[in-house]
Amino acid sequence: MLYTLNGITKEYGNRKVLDAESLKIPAGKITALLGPNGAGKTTLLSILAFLSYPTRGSMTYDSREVRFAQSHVQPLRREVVLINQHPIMFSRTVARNMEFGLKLRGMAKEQRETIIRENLSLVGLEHFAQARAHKLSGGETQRIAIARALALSPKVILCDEPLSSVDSQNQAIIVGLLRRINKDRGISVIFTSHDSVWARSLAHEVLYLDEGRPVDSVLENIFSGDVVKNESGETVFVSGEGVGFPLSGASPGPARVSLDPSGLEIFRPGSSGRSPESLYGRIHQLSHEKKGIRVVIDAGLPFTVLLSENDYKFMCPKIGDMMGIKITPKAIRILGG
Amino acid sequence: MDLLFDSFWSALILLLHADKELLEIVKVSLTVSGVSTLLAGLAGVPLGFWVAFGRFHGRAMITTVLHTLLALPTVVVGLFVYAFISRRGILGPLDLLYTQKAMILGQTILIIPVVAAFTITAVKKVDKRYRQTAMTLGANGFQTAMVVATEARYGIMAAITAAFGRVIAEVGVSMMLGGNIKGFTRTMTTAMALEYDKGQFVLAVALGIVLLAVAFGVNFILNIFQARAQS
Repeated sequence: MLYTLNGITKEYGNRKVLDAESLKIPAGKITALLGPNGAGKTTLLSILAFLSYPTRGSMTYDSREVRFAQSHVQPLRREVVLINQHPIMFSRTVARNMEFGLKLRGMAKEQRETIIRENLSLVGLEHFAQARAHKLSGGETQRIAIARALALSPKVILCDEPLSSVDSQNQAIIVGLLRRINKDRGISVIFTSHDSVWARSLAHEVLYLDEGRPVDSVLENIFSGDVVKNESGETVFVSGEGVGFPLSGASPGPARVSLDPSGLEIFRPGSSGRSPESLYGRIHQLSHEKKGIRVVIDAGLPFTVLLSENDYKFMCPKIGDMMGIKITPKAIRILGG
Repeated sequence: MDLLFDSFWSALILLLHADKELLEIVKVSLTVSGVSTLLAGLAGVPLGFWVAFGRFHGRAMITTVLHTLLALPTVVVGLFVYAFISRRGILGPLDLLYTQKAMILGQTILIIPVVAAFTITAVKKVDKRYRQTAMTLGANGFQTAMVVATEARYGIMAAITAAFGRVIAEVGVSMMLGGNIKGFTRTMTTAMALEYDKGQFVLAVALGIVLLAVAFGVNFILNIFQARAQS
């Protein structure tokens, strides 16, 4: 195992943001940390990078017990590089940015220049060496940040939401890069995401976090809003965006609900599945995964539905098709106010 | 108005002829203020950095004290240093009173809070990700601090420039600790005060023009640093 965490917690004042009773991350693989915003993913990543210390608990890295003290974590930091969600470049040229870590490691100038050239070439930005690093676009900055990390030949690269702030063209490049550095260089890649579709397609292992705790599967379709009674006296949930659906048995007031994608049903408008409570929207994403076909429908909010292969073959949904969504009671999980 | 215009033209002639006395006064002013600023920079920048970067109790109190000292009247500093370096003071045997060293000491004390307070602001403005990035790329505590200092460089330079602007124009410390001795501790501001007392405005106006030119230069440089810090 690359990391083994036992009883690791992180608290800020009275607020516990991470509570990992037991968590194992394998070596040499691409691991995704999935969870909604505020699940504790970034906090966990920061601890895995030895940049912040847990409040309690123990951790091993590469079969070594980690002692969270400056003198002990300093050598470990040289094996692990964290790339921020919005990476920041020193106000120097790209080459000067890349040679920063190499200089700290006492590398000779010729060797530094070779490494910089090689890694800029790997990310497809070899002609950017003398560019001002502050002037780069979001996608270019993300790629240079990967090159800057790779230049140090780390054992682990940690990426915080690597695709969240880049355009679709750069997204494809970055996904390809992460695959290549794992496959060709054997570097363990751990990344966080709240987008389960692409995360599952890239990762060998997927770990789920919710409210700071590792969970068996990630909660999806999480919506915040209010439970209210409608004109006919039925209890309904209305999201902050104004999208509503029945929610029997809940007390009126603020609520946060999660809808299990495998508990949702879809149907073509006009077919027998129609009911007054159904929601309608167009399909804007389809992807294949081990458990079935993931369908994302925009019905005022993005709803993720997991279809079995048989249901998919039967309905043949396509991108742009108008579909109805039926929310079954078994899909609903009330998370609190 | 005639008095002002006559003095102004006479002052310009004095400047164009590079009057020896005027140049001597300007030289003393620039030397004393320059050395004071250098010493205050050496003390104030690390102090400001330590307060901004460190993690210890009492940081907020130190910052409050530094901000309070920004408004320190020059005569209070003059009086304070005088108590130490006068013949009856504990530093009396060093015979510093009415020397350029005494003026430098007083001016340095006056502007250390300026440099430190502005350095704190400059360092705190630096995005926290610089620190984290430096650390994850393998920097130790000192190397990380140097990265932050580099990113805050324009703000720190602006702090030093502002401090120079404060001492070049001060009169209390120079008068009380320097004594306004001709050719030795007479600065632009103390000379202007003396010439005013004598009712002779020509040299005072000429020195005023030089002081304004220096103030303009300082502010020009300050604006450049501030513009770069914001870009």
